[in-house]
Amino acid sequence: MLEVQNLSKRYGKYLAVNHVSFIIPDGTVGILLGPNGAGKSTIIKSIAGLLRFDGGVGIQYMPSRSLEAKRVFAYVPEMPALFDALTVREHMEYIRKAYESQITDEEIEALLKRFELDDKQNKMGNELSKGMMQKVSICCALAVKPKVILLDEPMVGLDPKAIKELKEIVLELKSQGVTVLISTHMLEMVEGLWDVMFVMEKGQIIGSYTKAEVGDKELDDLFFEMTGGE
Amino acid sequence: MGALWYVRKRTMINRLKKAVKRPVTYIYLAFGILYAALIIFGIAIMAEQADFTSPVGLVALMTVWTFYSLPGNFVSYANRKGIIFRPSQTQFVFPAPIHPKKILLDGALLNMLMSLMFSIVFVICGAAVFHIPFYKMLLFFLVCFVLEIVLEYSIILIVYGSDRFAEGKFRLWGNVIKGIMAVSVLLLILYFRKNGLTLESAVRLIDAPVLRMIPVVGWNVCAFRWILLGADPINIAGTVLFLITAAAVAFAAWKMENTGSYYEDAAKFADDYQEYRSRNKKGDATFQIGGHKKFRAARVQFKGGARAIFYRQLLEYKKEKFFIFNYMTLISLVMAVILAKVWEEPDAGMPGLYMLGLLAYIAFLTTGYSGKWDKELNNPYLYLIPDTPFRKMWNATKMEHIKAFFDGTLMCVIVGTAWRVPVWQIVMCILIYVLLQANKLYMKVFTLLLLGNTMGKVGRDILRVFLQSAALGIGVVLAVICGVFLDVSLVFMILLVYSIAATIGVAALASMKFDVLEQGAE
Repeated sequence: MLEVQNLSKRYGKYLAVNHVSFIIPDGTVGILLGPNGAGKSTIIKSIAGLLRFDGGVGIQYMPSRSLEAKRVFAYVPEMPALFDALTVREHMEYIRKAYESQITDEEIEALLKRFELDDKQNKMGNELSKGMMQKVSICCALAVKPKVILLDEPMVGLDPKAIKELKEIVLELKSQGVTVLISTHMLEMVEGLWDVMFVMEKGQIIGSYTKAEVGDKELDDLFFEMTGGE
Repeated sequence: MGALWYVRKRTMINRLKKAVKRPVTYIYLAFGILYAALIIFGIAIMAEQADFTSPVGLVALMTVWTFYSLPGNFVSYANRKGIIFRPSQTQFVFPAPIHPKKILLDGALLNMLMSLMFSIVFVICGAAVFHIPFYKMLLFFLVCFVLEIVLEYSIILIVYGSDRFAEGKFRLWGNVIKGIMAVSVLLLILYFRKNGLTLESAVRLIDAPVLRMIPVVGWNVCAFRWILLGADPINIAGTVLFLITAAAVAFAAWKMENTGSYYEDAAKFADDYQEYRSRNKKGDATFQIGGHKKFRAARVQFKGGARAIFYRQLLEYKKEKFFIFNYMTLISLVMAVILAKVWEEPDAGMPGLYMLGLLAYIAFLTTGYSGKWDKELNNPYLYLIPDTPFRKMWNATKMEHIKAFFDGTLMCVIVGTAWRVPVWQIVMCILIYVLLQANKLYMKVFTLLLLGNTMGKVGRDILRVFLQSAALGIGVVLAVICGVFLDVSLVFMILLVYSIAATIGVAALASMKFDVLEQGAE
């Protein structure tokens, strides 16, 4: 479960996020939507522990900054940044060591194969294209075997096959009881995935819906209704 | 530190594996060893000449080093810019279940290696140059290096761990220390100006008890003075205080809670540093890491064709705080003042020729500098402009020639006036300087055209230096022949004509690079 309580963040005098609260239960896919500058990235980075903030973030009922919470939490940033001189396989090995992950060699092989990285295992981080880096970034997050996973614009730079795989993986994670939060602008990409949506504007959540509440209504209609066409 | 150590270890192994396959590694290694040997021999010769070879000499060096390195490091840590983090750490290390203190210790590894390197240099110099018994230098290494590391790591843990530092409230401390350091440099200059730069005056200064009573830094000085010069009451008291301080700070660092609030500053610095590196890689030499540059409002009337490139550059420069004047202008001014004030007017021969030689040397030394034009080659729109490659190149580099003209005028007028060089020679020197800078610039494009990315930047630089030296060498030979067999005053004219011919020749070749993007585009 992911719990955000009264989260506020200031950059100097600018209030980027203003008292935001939400909960995403286990086995639920949440999506965070909003126009540019709405504060989505600030919330994502705060949950990932990369920013100082007021308020609280709980991961599986533990404070997000605790090592126990971090052990079950995975994060895929918008811009992948790999270790320059580590191979793809060594990135996975680092994750296994850092998170004391129980992922097996066979599972790593299968994951890399799924994202068509099996023949790139010995490539260094700085030898990969942006799309490849994004795939490695996703594989590393999945290698954590997380209970909560945060995906910031995960589809950007991915080829159609990888997007399809990622969508399937999100549904698999959901069925395994993992909490998933996706921040994105690509509404059509998350159309069939989400259970709960949060729409942000000017640092605040201006509305949230569950899938059951909206029925067959399309995501972009809902979004534009709330944001007034932005 | 399993996972972090794994990253360090694999990074080192992978880099080494890659490096041994590249011939340029061995060239760097040879140059590195040669450079280190030159530095050590240079210090030895200088110390010998200045009668600086006693332990007191090393104490003097160490005192200066301690007084500037320790506070300097503190200032950078106070601003949370003392440890270099990378964006990969922001993604993979900060969110990982690794204690924030471990991440700091790992991040500061580079700083520790630097300290270790300097300590080893001091140990070698102490034994070889300053004739100090090796066991004493070993003791010095153990006490000073180990204590320094303990103190520095503890300061890092405290400064980066504190939320109060995170809010910037304590940055004032850093600024106060910076101010004190700047004032102390001025006082030092005044002291040596008054008393002369001799061993005696240096010894008198570093022997002053008040210096050793300054908290932490002075006490650190006491510790190595005790080892190198023997015990006295101040040294003993200072060393004890230094030990107590190091232990207390280490204890505080160990006990201090660290929740990783520094990640925000570290991640910001990682992005800024990455940006700084890529800017420097592209040739946009800058000293500033981070911070948003402020631009002024400006307008220009654009003109068509390739001239649009020049007017866009003009607009960019008009938005700059100091227009086209940058650190190169400052360097030119400082060099000119030094040459005019410090160097006396050459007695024999024509001072104009000396000035010309120095200008050629300066043009050669500032090879690394590149202005806004350098980025033009990476802009796809440049190749889409419907104009000839030569006109594109001329307009892309025209502003650089104007800048070279200003810098050259600044240097030639100041130095020429001080050395009483005839006006016509000053004018000739300015023109030749502009041509030399232009030649250097076109040569860079030409080597890029010739080699593309086949031999990397290093390969291109080696070829460029070679071609540039050859072009300069031919000019010098021509000038000497002309000076010896014809008339010395003709040297300027010959060099001017030669520079024009050489520059136009290289420019014509280089302009081909402005034709299509594929040609060795980076």
